[in-house]
Amino acid sequence: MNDLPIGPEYLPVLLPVLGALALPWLGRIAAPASLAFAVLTLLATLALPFAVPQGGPLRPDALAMVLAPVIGLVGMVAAWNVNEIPVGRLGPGLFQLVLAATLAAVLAADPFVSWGALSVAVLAGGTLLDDAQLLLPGVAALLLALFGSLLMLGGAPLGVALALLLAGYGAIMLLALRQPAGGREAALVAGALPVAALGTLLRLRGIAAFAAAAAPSPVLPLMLLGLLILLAASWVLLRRRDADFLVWSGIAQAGIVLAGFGIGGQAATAMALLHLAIATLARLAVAAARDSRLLLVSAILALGLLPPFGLFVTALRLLGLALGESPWFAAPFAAGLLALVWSALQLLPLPPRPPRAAAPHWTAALPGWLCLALAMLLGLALPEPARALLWQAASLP
Amino acid sequence: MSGVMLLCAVLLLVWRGVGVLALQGAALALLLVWQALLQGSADFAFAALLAALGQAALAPWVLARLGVQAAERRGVLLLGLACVAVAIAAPLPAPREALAVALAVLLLGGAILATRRGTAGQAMGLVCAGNGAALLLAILPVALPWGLGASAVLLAILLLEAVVLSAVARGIPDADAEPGRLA
Repeated sequence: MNDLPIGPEYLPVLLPVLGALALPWLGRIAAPASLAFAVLTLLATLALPFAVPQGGPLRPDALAMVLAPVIGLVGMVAAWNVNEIPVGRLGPGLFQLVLAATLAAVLAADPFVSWGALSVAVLAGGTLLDDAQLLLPGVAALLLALFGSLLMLGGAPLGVALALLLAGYGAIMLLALRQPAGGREAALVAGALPVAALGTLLRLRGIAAFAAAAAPSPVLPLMLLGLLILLAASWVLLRRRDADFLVWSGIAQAGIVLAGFGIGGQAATAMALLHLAIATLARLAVAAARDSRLLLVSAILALGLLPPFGLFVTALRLLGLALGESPWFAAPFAAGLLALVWSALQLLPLPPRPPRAAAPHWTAALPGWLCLALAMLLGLALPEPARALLWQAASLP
Repeated sequence: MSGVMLLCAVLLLVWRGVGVLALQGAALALLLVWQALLQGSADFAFAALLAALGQAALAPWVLARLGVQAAERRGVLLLGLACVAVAIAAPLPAPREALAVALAVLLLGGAILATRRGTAGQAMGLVCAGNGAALLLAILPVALPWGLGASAVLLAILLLEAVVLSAVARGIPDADAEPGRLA
């Protein structure tokens, strides 16, 4: 029979792949066509709940249904400003390839497929940005993860394999997050790649029965790594006045998400996933702020865990769950969160910007406002179907 | 042969001679040939051919043309020692010693990448790390999904290296962007 059934769950990957193949040949209309492909991809990710799983390398489970639309939205917002000049002839194609690969990583039914998809994403992202500091250490991290995957497939005890996988995918997440604000390519890589890497880590937690009652507790590495990343990023934000807030607050948010995965249990995992989605939206709002000062200030407040944005709710809930887990963990976790809040407040009021010759069109900041509105809505009034999907994703083994 | 590969990795940490890298790739190819003969496997024979062409010939040749900068001396050996110690201490399954060597080669490749200036030298570290990952295939029987064999994994490693080496040859800038506080 058919060994590789192609169902609707393949559309979110196939559409950007088609875009990657077609866009280099479209010349001047490549940028608007890239936006069209990104919008179609977002629609395909939103249609995932209607797909019937048919087996094969991709699987539209609840976790994929939560993470894929986030990546789809990143792609659409990043592709929004079609007037920006694409990087080289292959730029629009590589942009779509990063989108396809990150979506394939969250939809992957197998850790080996996830590794392959993330490899393509790192190679395409590093080439797109022409960034040696993403490409070279990123490939080293992929080799670490490959070693871990092979050890796991070879039937080795999970400890070392998981440590290597955690180091590899954790490093990819951090390398992607260090992209500074500005530019659609940086927004795509810094938005989509960390979501894909964290989604892969969550699936590995399930494979290894990370949350199972084992001694010593296997959730400890995730919790400690998350806490370490949060504290290190908060320390940099407090101590270095020239630190890029978008970069370091993004790294701190990733630390919070990892720590949430490490706390384990359905509630903490659901809150960590929601935190990941909202943090990605808030970072996108900063990247899409253009000259809108109000949007920029609002996005900074959102990333600084301040109300009324969703990260305030998820961080507080995670802190409550951490307290229930262990006060020894909760105390430094709370210190990291407070440092993040303080560093965001220190940025305000924003210094005046030199006037520009031509202000961007008012529609340029529209996706930023959309992201910010979603960042508020998801925290304050999560719609019931989304809540049910989130809890289902958090309960996956 | 895996001992030769480990020695090469340690030498690469302090030297810039890409000949050592070629020797490491040749040792990997020989190990894969040995496995091919032992198991009568065409897949391992193809993997050996890929290793000989890619890791022992092509990658060192490209790196030699790009010009690898001299290694940083300070603290590098200590870092190498730490990598080997971590690999030895890791709770690995049988054949434990051989797997520890593969892990050490992988980690030493990472150490080379971390301590070199210039993208060509860093790419040399990646090729060394790739040799470490490929060495695992020659040691541990791995059941890959969809009937994929060792040659498929080696092909993936070669693809990763090829993209990096082509980017380095193209002159990918290695200087970090100037950090700037938001707004």
